[in-house]
Amino acid sequence: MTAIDVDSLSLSLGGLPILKDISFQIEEGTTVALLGANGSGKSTLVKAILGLHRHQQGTVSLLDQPLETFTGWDQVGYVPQRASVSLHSTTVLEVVASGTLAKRPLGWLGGTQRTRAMDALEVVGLADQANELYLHLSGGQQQRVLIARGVVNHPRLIIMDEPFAGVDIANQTQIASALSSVSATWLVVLHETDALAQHIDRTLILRGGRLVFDGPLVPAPAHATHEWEPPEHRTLMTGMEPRWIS
Amino acid sequence: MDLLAFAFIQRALIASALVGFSAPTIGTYIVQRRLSLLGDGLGHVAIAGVGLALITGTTPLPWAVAICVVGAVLIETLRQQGRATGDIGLAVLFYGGLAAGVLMASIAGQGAGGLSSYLFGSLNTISASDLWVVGGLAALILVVALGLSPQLFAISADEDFAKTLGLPVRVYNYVIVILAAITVTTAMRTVGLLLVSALMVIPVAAAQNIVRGFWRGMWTAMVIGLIASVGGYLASIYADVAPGAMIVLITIAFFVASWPLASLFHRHVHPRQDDVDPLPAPHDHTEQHAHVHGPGCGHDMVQHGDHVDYIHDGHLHAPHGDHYDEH
Repeated sequence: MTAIDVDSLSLSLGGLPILKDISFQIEEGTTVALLGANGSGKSTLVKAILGLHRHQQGTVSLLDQPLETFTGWDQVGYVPQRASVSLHSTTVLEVVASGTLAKRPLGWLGGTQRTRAMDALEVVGLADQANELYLHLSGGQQQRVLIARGVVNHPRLIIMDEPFAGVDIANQTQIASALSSVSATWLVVLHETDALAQHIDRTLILRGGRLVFDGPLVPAPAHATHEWEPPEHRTLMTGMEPRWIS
Repeated sequence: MDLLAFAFIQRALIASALVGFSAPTIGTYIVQRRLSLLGDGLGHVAIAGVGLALITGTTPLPWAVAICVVGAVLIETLRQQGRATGDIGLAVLFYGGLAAGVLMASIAGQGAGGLSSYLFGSLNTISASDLWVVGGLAALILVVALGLSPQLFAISADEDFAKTLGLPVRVYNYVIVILAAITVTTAMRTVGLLLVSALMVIPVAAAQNIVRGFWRGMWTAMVIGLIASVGGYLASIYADVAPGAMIVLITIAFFVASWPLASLFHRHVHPRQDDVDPLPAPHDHTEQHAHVHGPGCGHDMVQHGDHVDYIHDGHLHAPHGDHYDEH
């Protein structure tokens, strides 16, 4: 089954073209890193895939359903950038339990939802912080809470936007460990691949709103330009043939 | 206690209790969305409804509810279309409502003075029929705001994430602003349209100082609102002062009293030691680096004396020749 199918996607925001004719498919069970410099359109692409930004051209399908009529939201987990979330006066358990609404959109949150939330917090190693205020946690812990919220329904497809931004190495390791323990299709927006390198099956690289590379993991960005550069050696790591896109 | 035997005082007590208990529910969502002054703006819009009632010689409450709900829907529509970001549309709506209300009141021959009982409240003149309307509206607010609390919490906390849960976020956003409009008009006879926002927001702020969590905060705010409203009204009749002002000042007293308690109830948890990267020794060098730090490189900048450091993996990098100093 195809987890994500993006075909000829173009999107403008405020009249400014952000994404230009992007096409790719992600098969179920793979872990895909979406890379690119700041402003290349990574977060916008993720939001377009989730329907948070309306695209002007092209089509998006999730789990073989067109986005416009998609109903399987309990099978999709979204982990936004930590900096984009404002959760004051809210406990960790409340944050994570809110994710269960995809399975049960009406009614109060009961014991079942709390149990699910606690299970998800176990996965990210924060069960002991369940009743702490979200804002009292460190940045890395907050990120892990958002991951727990994203995986609380055991989704088949998980989309994460820059999970390592401002997160220390210890938390990066714990996030990577949580990721490897959750069996799903992952699309992860990354700035630097180090912590996840061993889990990544495939990379997509955006530059200026265009998909410029689709293939195996590429080396770290070239010193001095901070642009993701084409790999020096075409057959690294996975042996997968890279697809060059003009 | 003999004052409590009067029917108008009993009505006023019931009205203040209903409003004090219900206003902070919707206030909790508004505070979470950082729209604390929405109630204040809607209060201005409701004045146009009161002016319309004065012109037509009808009961103000239904007019105020209708105009305020229309204003709230308009505000939310502007926000959803991204057109309210400059605040100009909101300012036009809010001050247009106030000016229209004053204008209509003066056309009705009452001048601005005719509005004062709605601007600052007039608990002692609440009629039995007013009380039924206030009771019905307060019940509606409580049923919807509490019945949909997980959903309204989800969209108030993180709208984008709520959309990915498949929740009808636009509909719920309208529910919140319409409930806010109803709350404002319900409270106009108790604390008045100019002070109503205080009763919606300040109990929430006080509650968040003394308890942890969204739902605990909401229930605590409702109790604070109830105590402040009933206590404020009782204090006002014995001190013979304006009840609306007394209620709001007691609400603020709760907030001020909660401030020092915040440090007792909110134990700040510092990141556990194993969650923190060991910091490098001052001015260690980092030769290898994935990219050159600069504005827009994705790492946060911090001014450090005569240079800029970049936050990198939990510590600071300062460009120095062909390497980075670890700060």
